[in-house]
Amino acid sequence: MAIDWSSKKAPAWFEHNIPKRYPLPRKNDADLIQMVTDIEEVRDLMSLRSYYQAADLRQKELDELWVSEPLHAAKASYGSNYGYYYGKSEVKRWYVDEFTAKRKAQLKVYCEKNGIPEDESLMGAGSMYMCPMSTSIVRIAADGQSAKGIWYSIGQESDLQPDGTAKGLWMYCKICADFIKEDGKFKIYHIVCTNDQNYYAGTRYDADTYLKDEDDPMKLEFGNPTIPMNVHDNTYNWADNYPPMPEPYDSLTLENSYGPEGHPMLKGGNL
Amino acid sequence: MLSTLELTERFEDRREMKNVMGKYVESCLLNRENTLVDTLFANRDDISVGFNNGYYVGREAVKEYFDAVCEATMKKSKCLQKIFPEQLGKLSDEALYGVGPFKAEPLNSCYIQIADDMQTGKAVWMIEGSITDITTKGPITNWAWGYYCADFIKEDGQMKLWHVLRLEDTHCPNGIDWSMPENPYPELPEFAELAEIKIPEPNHPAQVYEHYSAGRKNMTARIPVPYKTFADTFSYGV
Repeated sequence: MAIDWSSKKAPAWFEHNIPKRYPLPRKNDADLIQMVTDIEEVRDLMSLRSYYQAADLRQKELDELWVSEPLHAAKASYGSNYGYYYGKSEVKRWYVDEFTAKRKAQLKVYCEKNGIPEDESLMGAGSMYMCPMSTSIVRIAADGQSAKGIWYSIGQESDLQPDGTAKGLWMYCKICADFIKEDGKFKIYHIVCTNDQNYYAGTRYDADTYLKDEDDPMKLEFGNPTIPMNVHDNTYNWADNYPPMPEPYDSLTLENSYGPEGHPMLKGGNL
Repeated sequence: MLSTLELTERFEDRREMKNVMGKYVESCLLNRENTLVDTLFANRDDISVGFNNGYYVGREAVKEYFDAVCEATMKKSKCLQKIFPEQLGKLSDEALYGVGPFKAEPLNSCYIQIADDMQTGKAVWMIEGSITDITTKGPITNWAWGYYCADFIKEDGQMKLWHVLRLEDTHCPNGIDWSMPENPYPELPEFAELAEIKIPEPNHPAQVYEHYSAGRKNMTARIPVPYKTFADTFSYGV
């Protein structure tokens, strides 16, 4: 593939790399601007979720940003490497209730350490959580009623420890989600937040300090999911391409969703 | 229900706000902070830039602050020139300027609200920055977690910066747990002259935000909420 620069001409093979241009299936102006507005709405929604998470407003996130229609809520899910919480009440059991219990235990430590009475308005003191959302791809269904997106997040969770010190954790996560319209607004239907690697701040992430399963704080924190399974294997950063990037699609079905029904190991009802 | 034209205008405004803030952090990366006021801010006197320790309020104070940052950059570059004469000794001041400090703050989690009257907008971003500074301890790279918040105001049909607020949760050397921040590096005599660098204090000092520690209360940036006109909402300025 060497190029003869003295010839001042592009080599013959170069021409073949010029992509062929096809006419786009153009929509009318109103449809196009509605589509870009929808994409922005989905991006805003996931950004807002990251600010609610940072502020520990997890119940508010579920109330405002997630689906609420009963048929949707029954099949809403939150997945991670270790399985899925299935149904909105199950998502709440872990995402809100278990998290709140953790924060209450930390509040006790914080107040004891600072010699002050326990005051729930101080919940979250000594801790910090940030999952900045970057690198988004958003697809709006051709029917306009749903959307799918992928983001990458290099985030951190800094937790108050039982001894009153704090510890920071790096979290490298791929976040995929399905959104479905309720009352004209996109709502979160399924989320899969898979972790590619996590390691404590100030440590190296090579093999010497690689977190073993039994010490993995993200695995421990994920608790006991409704459907325990290996959703994404990050051992040695294996790339199993789950969850995958969203492709253009017509309308959302559970089988092409980021819910457990769409996971390659469960798709089509096959085990 | 917004018309196609209104939706298009809102999309244009959002794009402009993202681009302006992208230019802001890109200018900081290029150490061109002294160009920010004239290129990206609204042409009015009540602009402001805020940090954890207070606000620079007013066009003159904001300019003075950014100019001081650039003067500090020049001093840092000249200090490095003395230490590395072989690599940097022959460079003119213009070519030398900017050697050293490196402020990479990619913007994430963009969240925008535009007023119903479309005359102003508010936005917040999360940052996970890598900031290398040349200090009296030599070059040190820090992880900087935090937020950029901004109010925008429309001027001649374009969204311009009005109030910028940079909140920092951590500023901690790489390789150290930011929950127990410490700077283990010793003072170095060849960098001692950098102790003379003076950045003016905010003209509205205030404890706006605290760095993270085990003893800090839970705090995050304030999230924009839908609003009709700027009078109906909060400000990222003083």
